[in-house]
Amino acid sequence: MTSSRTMSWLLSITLIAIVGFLLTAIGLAGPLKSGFQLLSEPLIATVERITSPVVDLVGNAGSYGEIRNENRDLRLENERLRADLARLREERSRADEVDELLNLRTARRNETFAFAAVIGHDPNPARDVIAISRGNSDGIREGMPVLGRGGALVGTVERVQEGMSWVRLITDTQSDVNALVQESRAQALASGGADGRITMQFLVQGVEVKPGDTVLTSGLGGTYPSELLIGRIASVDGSTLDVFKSAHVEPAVSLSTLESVAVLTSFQPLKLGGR
Amino acid sequence: MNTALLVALAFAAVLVDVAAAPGATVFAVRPQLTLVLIALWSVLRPSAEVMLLAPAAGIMLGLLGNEALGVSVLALAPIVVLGISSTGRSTERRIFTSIGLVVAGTLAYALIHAILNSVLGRPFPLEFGSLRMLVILCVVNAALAAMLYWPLARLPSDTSMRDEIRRY
Repeated sequence: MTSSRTMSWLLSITLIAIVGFLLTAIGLAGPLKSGFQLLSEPLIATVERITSPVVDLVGNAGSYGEIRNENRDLRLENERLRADLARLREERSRADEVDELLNLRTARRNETFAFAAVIGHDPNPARDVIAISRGNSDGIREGMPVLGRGGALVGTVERVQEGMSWVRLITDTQSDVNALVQESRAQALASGGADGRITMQFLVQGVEVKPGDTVLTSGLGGTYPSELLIGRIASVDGSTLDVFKSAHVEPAVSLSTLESVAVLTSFQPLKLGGR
Repeated sequence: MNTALLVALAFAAVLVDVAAAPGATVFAVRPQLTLVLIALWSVLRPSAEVMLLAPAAGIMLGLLGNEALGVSVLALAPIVVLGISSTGRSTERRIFTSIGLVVAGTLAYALIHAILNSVLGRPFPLEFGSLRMLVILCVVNAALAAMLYWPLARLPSDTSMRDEIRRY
């Protein structure tokens, strides 16, 4: 019974297959297949979208070792690229600073400079002194002004060694710079303080000094050239009854993040400005 | 099971084969879901169902695949014949029958496919020409059958079949 049923089924199957072969032979199968494929296309796309996560999983299951190796290589490459990126960012930041320092050559054509990197800080917490990578052999001499970005004054060379120098920053307690307020032409000593701030003392009461005013070197005394930017007035102290008033000066350059400086080698100080 | 449902099932299996299988390569071969489904169906389900499922799937493979119409109809026939002759065993034992059938069916399908396509002037598929690939395909299909066996074995029995058994 089952056998005859199977035989008749096989016969039917063979007939269906023969019809299929004939349709293929006479060329009718092509349009039929095209039509069916066209109708099924959205369904195929849907199934493809639904099954793609499983397909990915199955497709990658046979290449586990390969994926593991690739993953390891990519991790290594990622680490290398991160290190490169950090280095490039650092170099770019340094290059920007150096670019600004190099602009000094254009701004001050008659002057000569020695560019140096900041290589250290004086460990003494009471001092604001940095070490730079140029020394005696580079023409650095004591008392030479040291400039930062944009040509702003950052300090003066305090001590020179063969391959390096120590620079006393304008915020150091031993730093005194003859300064003037550009707007009012008021002149006073800009001295570093223990609190790391610069104070202009002995400003005459009659002269108007207000926050935001620009402070430059006056050139008096010959220890610094004139018209070097020091910073801006941050606040003014003292009542009208006082004989003198004082003002706090915010340096034009962030001295705590200095990385490169330019030493004004063409300037020869008449005397050292240390107290 | 309803005829329409069986045709839909055949269509779904072929769709998955056509849409998903090209990317799902395991050891460089693509598992044949339709073939595995028919093999399992022939062991686990009433013969009347697989006798409809197999030709429906064969026709759809012909319509959607790159082969002559009718080739898959004939290539799937040995699986059905072998499957419906292996009855009367427990569900636990039938898993080995099913996997054996999938391996035999894979070989028969590949052989018939290759012969018919050659006769009909179709290009000979490279994966069937390689014995090594054929062996891998048997293993991959058998693994797929092992995964699908238990879900299919838990499908509720056909009501007409139950009535037939009750009458018997």
